[in-house]
Amino acid sequence: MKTGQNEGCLNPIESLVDLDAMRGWEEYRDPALQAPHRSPELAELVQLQHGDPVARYSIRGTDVLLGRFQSQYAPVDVHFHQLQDHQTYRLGAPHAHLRYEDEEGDWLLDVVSPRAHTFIAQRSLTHLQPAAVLSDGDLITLGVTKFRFRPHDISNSRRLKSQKAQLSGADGPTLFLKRSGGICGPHCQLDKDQPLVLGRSFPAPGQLPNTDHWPPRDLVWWDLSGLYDFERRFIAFRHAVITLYKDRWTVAPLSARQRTFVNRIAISGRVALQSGDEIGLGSVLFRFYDPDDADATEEERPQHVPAVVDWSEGHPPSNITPSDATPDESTTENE
Amino acid sequence: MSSPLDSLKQKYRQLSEIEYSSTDSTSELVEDADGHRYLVWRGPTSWQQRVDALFDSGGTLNALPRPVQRGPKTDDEVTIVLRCPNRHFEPFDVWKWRNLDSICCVRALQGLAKTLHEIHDAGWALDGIKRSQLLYSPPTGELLIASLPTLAPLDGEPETIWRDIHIFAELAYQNFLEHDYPGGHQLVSLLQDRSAMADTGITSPGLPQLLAGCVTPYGDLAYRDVDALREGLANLHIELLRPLAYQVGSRSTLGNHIFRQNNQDSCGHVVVDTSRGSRKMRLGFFCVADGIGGIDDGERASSLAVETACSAFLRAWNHHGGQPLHAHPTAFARAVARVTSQRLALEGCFAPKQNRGGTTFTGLLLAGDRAGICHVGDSRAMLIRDSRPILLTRDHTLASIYERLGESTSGNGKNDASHRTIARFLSTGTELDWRRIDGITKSLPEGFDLDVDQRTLGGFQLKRGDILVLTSDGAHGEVDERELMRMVPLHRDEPQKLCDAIIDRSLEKVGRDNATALVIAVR
Repeated sequence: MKTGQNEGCLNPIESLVDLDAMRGWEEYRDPALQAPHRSPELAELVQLQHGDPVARYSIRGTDVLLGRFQSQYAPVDVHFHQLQDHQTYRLGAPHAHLRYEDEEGDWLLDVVSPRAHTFIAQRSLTHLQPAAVLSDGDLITLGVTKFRFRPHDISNSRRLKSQKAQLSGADGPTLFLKRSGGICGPHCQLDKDQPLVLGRSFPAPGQLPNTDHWPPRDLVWWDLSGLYDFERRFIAFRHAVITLYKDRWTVAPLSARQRTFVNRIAISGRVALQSGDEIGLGSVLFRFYDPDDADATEEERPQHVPAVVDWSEGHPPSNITPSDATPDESTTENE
Repeated sequence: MSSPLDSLKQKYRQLSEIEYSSTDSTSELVEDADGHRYLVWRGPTSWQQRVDALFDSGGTLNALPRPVQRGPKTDDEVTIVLRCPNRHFEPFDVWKWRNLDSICCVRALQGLAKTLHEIHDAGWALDGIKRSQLLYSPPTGELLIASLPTLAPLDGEPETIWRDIHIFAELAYQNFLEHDYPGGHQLVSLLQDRSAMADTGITSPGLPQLLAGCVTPYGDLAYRDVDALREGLANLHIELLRPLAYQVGSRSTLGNHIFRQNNQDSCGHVVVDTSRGSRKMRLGFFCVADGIGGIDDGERASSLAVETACSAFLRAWNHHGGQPLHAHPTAFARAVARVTSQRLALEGCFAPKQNRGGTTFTGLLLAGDRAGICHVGDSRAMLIRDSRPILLTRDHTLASIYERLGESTSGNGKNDASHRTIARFLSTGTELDWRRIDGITKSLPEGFDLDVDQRTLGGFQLKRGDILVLTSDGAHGEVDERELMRMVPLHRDEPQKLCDAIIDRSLEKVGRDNATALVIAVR
């Protein structure tokens, strides 16, 4: 079985082929960006195919959106990136909202995508119905893909403690990478005097033919080339810049193609940040934390679920039931 | 252990007795009721201990049969039954050997030399092999040592080495010159006279060197060990290799549909042909890209993809050399697509206004006799082998997604827009990850089976006579498989003409799209 987020799972081609030599320029893939997640796993969703587990996705937050990433919508916390094309095609962006009620100790699932199908066991769940309470081993069908829900016996306070420990390690304003709903370890500290550019490795102007007009590489930046393939796909080479402007931290988009989000709302120009804000670059989420901010808190803000998106692509067939929803998986195209 | 010799004799039918150099040992070729062939060796106890030591030495010993049974044993004599690797082994026949293709002859000798090397490595010498002590399998061209003479400890004397290897001179001579071996003394004098060599016909490159190394234990040219013999055989092998040649034809056309203002298709190929020493290497990369997007955007994207892909292929060859490409052609083809995808994404990032498009991309990487595929979009790669079309790619269209979901395409059949809606392509917006760059499709016809590793990394073996066709949807959308297969026999030897025929046919039908075809004939 593959591990959750492709963790430690390098494509075999990368051990056979020197991609830098083929590109003609070097990409810097920081191994720290693929270090093991530092927050405990609260639950997991195990993706099934013919009843067999084929992939697993960690849940490391108590308030997370599940689904696919579509660039016109905001990123989701748990991005099902190991699906096949037709499975992704029937998944909402976002598809569902999963949260943990500390008092009752319950996991609740809301559907937020009216055009995509959701079933818990054999019961259909729609966006008009109240949240369903999940129990251990529940079979959840999102679109046409089945998952097994597995909560772990871990108290939320342990997760909060780990998040706190990571945040209190920050010596000044810092950007933390989030994965699966929790701060995962990699972070970058901000400097008052230097704007920080977020992006990916790219060749110097003129290094490739007809590229003299390309911008020079930035001096201070966080190179995110080392993220997992499915994360870096939607990160531009120069994606966004974070600057201290008139004594406020701000983020401004640099890319015309890839979107930048603040608190899951796309931005088109410079936007001021507050400690605790969530920045999204393509499908990847970061948490901005500034210990000097008077309102700084180590707690997370509750998820602001987007107004139900009438998301659709193609026309889902009517009268679908979970058993029909299983397509013929024997013709799997990819490895 | 006490089963009498008679019961053995009942079980097997004797085919022939193999000549043995020492008088106290025998070897017989026998066959059981199922037609499996065995050798029965009989010899003194001391001999058996040495045979056991040899089989325990850990070599693969491919040119020896495998012991399967210990036969009856008396105080001073033992019997071993050994199984031949296949049922075609028969006593060596010099006429069949002479008619064997030279390259098979060299491979057979290489196999024999490898086992001899393992025997010597284990510290034993054979005291000479005669051709009458060999078995030969005509369909596979393998040689088997049929009788293991008294094994003697290897003493390192030049004569000991020579006794074991001079058979190679005789066998090579018989096959290459197709007449009787003149004997060592005669051959030595032949090799000292260039005009005599020319008269006799000892002219194949590498052959005189091998003969000189094996024919006598004396002189500077004599092989001092089996390693030197194997090197001589390897050189002879390289000289005989004739790498596959790739003949290419290509054509791309705007088409004749009135709403098509420009040709957004591109195709390209590079063939690298090198000789390092006598080692020949032929490699090629071939691709078809069908641009998507505004008028200029699609054209820019597809031409940039083709240029980037060809140069990435050359960089890979320059950096890695031919061997890794030969071992994993699909891995390298997919890496080419990945690098190309990144290059398009860079262009889209730094010149976003001129680069809003994308392109399909289907690439074929050939390295010697192996081929690999990378594929994104709805262009196609097809292999035509023995007059049978084998589609190597699966279209990434909305229609194929519907098919996987088990839904119908609103009843329009092949004309439905979902067949023309592409689900994956190389985009100037986002870079593709490995999961979205296909290798060879899983849905291959029966008889052309490839495992997961071969489909995603390794690629498949090419044969002389194979034809590979890469097309954009403007071509295969108009000229279907049946029509294509009618054209193939007419233009089998002329890839450019086959290309023209495909394009002309799609023009006759006034197809809606640009049409591109690239044909490679492997010969």
